[in-house]
Amino acid sequence: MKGFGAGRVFHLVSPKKSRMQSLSPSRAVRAAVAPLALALLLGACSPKNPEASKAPAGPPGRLGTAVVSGRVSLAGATPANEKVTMTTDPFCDGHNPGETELPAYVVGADGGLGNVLLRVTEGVTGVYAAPVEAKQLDQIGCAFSPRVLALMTGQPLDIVSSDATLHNVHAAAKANPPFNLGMPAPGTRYTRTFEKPEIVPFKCDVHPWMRAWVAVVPHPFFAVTGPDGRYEIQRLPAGTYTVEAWHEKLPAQTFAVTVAEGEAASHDVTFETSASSPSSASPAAPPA
Amino acid sequence: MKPGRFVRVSTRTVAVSVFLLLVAGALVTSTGSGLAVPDWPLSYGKLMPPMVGGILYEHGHRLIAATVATMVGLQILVLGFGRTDRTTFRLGLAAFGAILGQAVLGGITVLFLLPPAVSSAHAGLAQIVFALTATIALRTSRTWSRFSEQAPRAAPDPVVLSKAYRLALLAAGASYVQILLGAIVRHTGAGLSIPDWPLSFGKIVPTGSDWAASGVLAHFAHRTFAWVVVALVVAAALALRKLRGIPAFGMLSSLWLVLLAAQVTLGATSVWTAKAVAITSAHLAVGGLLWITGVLAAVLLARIKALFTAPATAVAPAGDAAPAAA
Ligand code: HEM
Repeated sequence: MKGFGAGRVFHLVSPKKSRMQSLSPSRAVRAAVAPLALALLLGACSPKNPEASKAPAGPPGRLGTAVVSGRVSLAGATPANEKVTMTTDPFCDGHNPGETELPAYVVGADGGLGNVLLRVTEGVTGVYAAPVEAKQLDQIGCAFSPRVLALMTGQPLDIVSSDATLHNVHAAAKANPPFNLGMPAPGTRYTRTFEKPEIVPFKCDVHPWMRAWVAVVPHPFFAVTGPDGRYEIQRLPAGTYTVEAWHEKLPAQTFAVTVAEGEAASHDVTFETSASSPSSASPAAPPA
Repeated sequence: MKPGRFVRVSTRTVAVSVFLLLVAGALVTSTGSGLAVPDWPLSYGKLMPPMVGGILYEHGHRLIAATVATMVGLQILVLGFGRTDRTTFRLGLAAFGAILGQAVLGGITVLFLLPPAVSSAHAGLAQIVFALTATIALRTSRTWSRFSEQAPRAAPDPVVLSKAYRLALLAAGASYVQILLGAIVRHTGAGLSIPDWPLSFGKIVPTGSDWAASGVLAHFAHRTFAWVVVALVVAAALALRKLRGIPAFGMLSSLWLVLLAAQVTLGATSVWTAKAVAITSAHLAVGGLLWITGVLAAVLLARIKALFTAPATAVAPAGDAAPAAA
């Protein structure tokens, strides 16, 4: 059985059969609606990347022993995070009474900036096999957890909900087929894989404040900073790399780093903000 | 034969309900709730999911739509048994067909995650349903019958009449084009692609790199074409005023101008408030009223033209009565 919006390259690995079946639009509806939609959209709705389901070909990528690590920090005044009230859903309001600050800027006491994705964008050669262990995106207390998550192309993503309220998980993917899943109860679980690299914005349209970003990277050389702003990209082979630091609100930055086998290079990144930076600025466009 | 009170009240109720459905639809998009319910025709596999968060708007819209579609269906019976004329009956059939098409488009847009082409088509067809039901309400109204009886006596200047008719048609057509442009702006997320108004990026026409940002072209087309709508509506409204002796047109003209001013203000305020939910929803609703005023003006003028130019018996209201239970 497929979930809502399931594209060709998505596999529902562990369906909760009985519950999910009741949620799926009937085959009859799909059958009636699909040809009409196709005619209407002149193919605009068909999977955007027919190549996406093909396994990547090429020489296997190498793992090494070099490490690039450092700290990401925010200089200047920390922009105020947007505040919301969750009164539209008593469950969410119960977990987050009053005004709740959305954690776009997670800044530690010493200026460390959390939820920054660091990924190698140039210098990696070869094709890397995806790990079989799934990464997990949960919904806890009407927030996605984690807010920024990175995984490899082809690596399973378990999407779960721990909340006793309805959520929908809407992945506005561009390079991969987008999807929208109903998560009607705690314990609901879907598994999805992405075959193309991109940063996929996730949202819940029931609770519009719920946002997450899932970075799909074609190799294992990436990290996401914790609340202290620290990161570590491990197992790099010797070489020169371009690393990108990406934050949901701030313009991405890149830096170059050269490492030898067994070497640990350190590189800190600083995002500058002006005091007037609006907290509600639209999220930085996710790089492809 | 004049339609009875029941027919008149029913058709008016249907037209008002369609307008309320438009407002409910506007709220779905303005609150970003279009995908709060991922399945269709059921909602989270149920007829009635908990109405929390965005589900309130999306499922609420579906419930109102189901009710209004039923009303539009029942209207066919009312028109058939109410012995309305054949054209009105056919409009009733068209309205039902259009609202069913509207439901299918709504379903498709949910299942395929709001492709802008389908969502814009859904927005465009909604206004057609509104126009059809409003025209039915007009054709079964007392005003309509009164025109039929009085027009030969109070015959207006044919040149003024023709000009007013042409301008009303153009103004209504331009309003509809503007509605479609607005739908594209809204459904491609281009509402704030140009952040200022009345200037665009501080200029009269955006230049160079301004155009690189997504949605600028659609947004600029919408705000520029607004001036075409303004010019045509003002011209048509003034032309209506020249039709002396027909009080309905004086009122319609004033209403049209007020709606126009409100609509431009709401469009500008949508930008200034960074798309406040109430403002963008009101902008859609008043846009619908502006278009309907044009449609009704054109339909009324066409009627008067027909009464004025054709032999009175050929256009008598009872002359083309529909088969009772067709
Ligand atoms: C005067 C005639 C106008 C008409 C008939 C009109 C009509 C509409 C309609 C019907 C929509 C919503 C479409 C839908 O989703 O179905 C819309 C959207 C919009 N219009 Fe207008 N409009 C007019 C003038 C303006 C002006 C002068 C502005 C000023 C910039 C403007 C700004 C906008 C914006 C920003 C949106 C998108 C709102 C959103 O994203 O929610 N409009 N328009």
